Amino acid sequence: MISCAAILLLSVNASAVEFAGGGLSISTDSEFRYFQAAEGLEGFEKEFPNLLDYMELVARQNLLWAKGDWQVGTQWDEVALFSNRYYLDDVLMYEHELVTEGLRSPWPDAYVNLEKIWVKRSTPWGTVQVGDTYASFGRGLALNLVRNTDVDIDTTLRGFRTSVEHGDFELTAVGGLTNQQQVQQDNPNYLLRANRHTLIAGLRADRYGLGPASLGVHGVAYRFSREVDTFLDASGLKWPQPCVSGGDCEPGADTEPLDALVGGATLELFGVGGMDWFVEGDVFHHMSSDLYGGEDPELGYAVYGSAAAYVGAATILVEGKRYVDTERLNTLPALEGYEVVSGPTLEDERVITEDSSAALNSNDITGGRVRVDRAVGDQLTPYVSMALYRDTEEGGLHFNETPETIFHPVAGGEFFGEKVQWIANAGYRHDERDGDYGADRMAHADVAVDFPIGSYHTEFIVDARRFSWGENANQQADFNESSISLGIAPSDTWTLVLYNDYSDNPLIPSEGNLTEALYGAMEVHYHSNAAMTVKAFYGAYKAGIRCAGGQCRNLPGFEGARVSIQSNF
Amino acid sequence: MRLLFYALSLVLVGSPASAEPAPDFQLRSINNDSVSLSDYKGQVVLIDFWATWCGPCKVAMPHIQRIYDENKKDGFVVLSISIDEARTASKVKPYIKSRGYTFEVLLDKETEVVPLYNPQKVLPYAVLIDRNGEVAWRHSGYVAGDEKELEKQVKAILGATP
Repeated sequence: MISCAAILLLSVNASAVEFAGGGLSISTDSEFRYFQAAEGLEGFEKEFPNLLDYMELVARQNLLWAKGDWQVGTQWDEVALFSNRYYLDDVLMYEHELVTEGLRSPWPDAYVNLEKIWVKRSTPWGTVQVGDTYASFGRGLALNLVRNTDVDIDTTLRGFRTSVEHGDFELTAVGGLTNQQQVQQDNPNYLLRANRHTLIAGLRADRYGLGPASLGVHGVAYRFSREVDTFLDASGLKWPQPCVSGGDCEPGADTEPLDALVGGATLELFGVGGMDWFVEGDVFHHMSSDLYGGEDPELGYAVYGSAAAYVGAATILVEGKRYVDTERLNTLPALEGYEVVSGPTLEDERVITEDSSAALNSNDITGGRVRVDRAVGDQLTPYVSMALYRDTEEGGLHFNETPETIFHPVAGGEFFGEKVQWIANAGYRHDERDGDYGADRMAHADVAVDFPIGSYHTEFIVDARRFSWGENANQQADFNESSISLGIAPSDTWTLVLYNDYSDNPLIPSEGNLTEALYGAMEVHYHSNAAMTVKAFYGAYKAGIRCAGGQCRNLPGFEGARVSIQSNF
Repeated sequence: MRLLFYALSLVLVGSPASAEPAPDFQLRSINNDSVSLSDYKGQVVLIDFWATWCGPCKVAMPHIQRIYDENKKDGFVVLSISIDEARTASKVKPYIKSRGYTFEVLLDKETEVVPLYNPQKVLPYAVLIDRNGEVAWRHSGYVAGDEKELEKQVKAILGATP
């Protein structure tokens, strides 16, 4: 096991310079890490205790050139490992192999990648973009490839995107191969591999201005990469190998040119009956058994609807969903770390856990959520929310042995006063399994308060959770988690932040620096001027699951020191 | 090593600021209107990136509303761009309505605009565009008191000769 003992983070937004008659803007984000190996090379621990320590520099440059109707963008990612070599019996050894599986680099310890490149032209009738592009149709149920840097996922469609507008009509076409981000910004980089291309083609037509209504129809075709054998093996799932790569399935069983076709429609109504309405329906025609673990593919469907009412000082939002086999499209991409569709979950992402994330990915779930916000005066807005789901998928990635009924009440509010501001949420989630299988329970609360102490500005944030898993075959220990931060700003230029994390979850891959379960850290911010901020961090924080944009990742913990510089020129 | 040197030199040396044309974009508003940055040519525009799950973004919003109310008569416009994904887009308008905000709110569901101005996707993130359509000021994050600097910049740019 290695720990990351020091990080230097450099982040720069450089301003534009004139280039080829247009404006060229550059932003750079660089991070330097020092990894300390827990153990030395076997047999040489005493002689060379730090032999396996190494350093990593990760850098990213975004360049955007714009002139009139033209925009050209690139993203260059670089990673370099230092102190990554040693000699053993006069043989040069590398501690970590940086690139593999189809990637080539002239340097054994460094890799430079033109991660994104695109050209966009806007015209009076629409836009054309060639190169890397993002795409999302409707509420993301049929197609959702977007930038999700919060969890270090950035998969684009490398191909084209064009939108044609004529009056109230708009036609959008996208097509290309998926382009996965190779170099990770938040995680250690080694064994980087080439893209495994999934073919996606989609078309959407929108008709606006039908009175208060907008109508849209879309269709998306998928052909997934078949070079996933390594990942299937690594996952431990005994799924059949795809036929096209010579797997152990019956010849001819999987020779369809496409894996899935999705068709759907959306209807949006504005101000009808004093309310805003949205409804989407999609049908998923699966053609590949690979999406069903070798079983015969079936038809899937999804219905999602929302209605928002504005009654005096109150706002009421009602959402409902019925999803059957809507997550099958993510089966193969998820093994490579991203998803191609992500519909509304109606979940509270801040409290998604290893277990409740299963409900996110359920292939048979029905439910809804009601939320009421009501302003009380100009500064306070409390709310209450209640969600209820019935999750009937069992087995697979889902772990459930029986169907379960989930209810999740949450209450909270926001207060934005002249001197004091706070945001608070608290709730209780209960996943009741059918029969005598008990229930998963989670209580959670978080509050963020900004207030002055004399002339000092202070920010106090607490986030705490209690997990109880009940009796079940996959028994996991109950545990508690909390995160606390206290920021004090004695002036406009200096801020001191103290951090404290706690987790007695035996499954997370990190240990505290104060006790096994307790993590402590401090950070000093110096704002030299509006253009530059310097941050110095020392201490530790815990590992854990983090969800954003409907996708979750387990992010590593950290222990050590870090200096960051953020500049705007 | 050269990479490290390159990164350090960018930080330490930098370059003198020069005019940065604000890239144009087109998005749908929460009221389903098609809105382009170029619609506001000749005005001072604040682009504010936020999301319904971003606490500091929400704390900053009452200040943005106040600055907007006080300066809109002088040609100040706020384009508040939600980067909530498609799956959470239904939450954006109810949030804005429940808090009584009146500035323009746009939906960047497909992350089309955020790479143009804020490729690191920091939230909140503010960009001020002057009457010439050039980026005049950027600011990432929000802590209490930041609104004073924003207000100062807005008034300075509004007062500048176009």
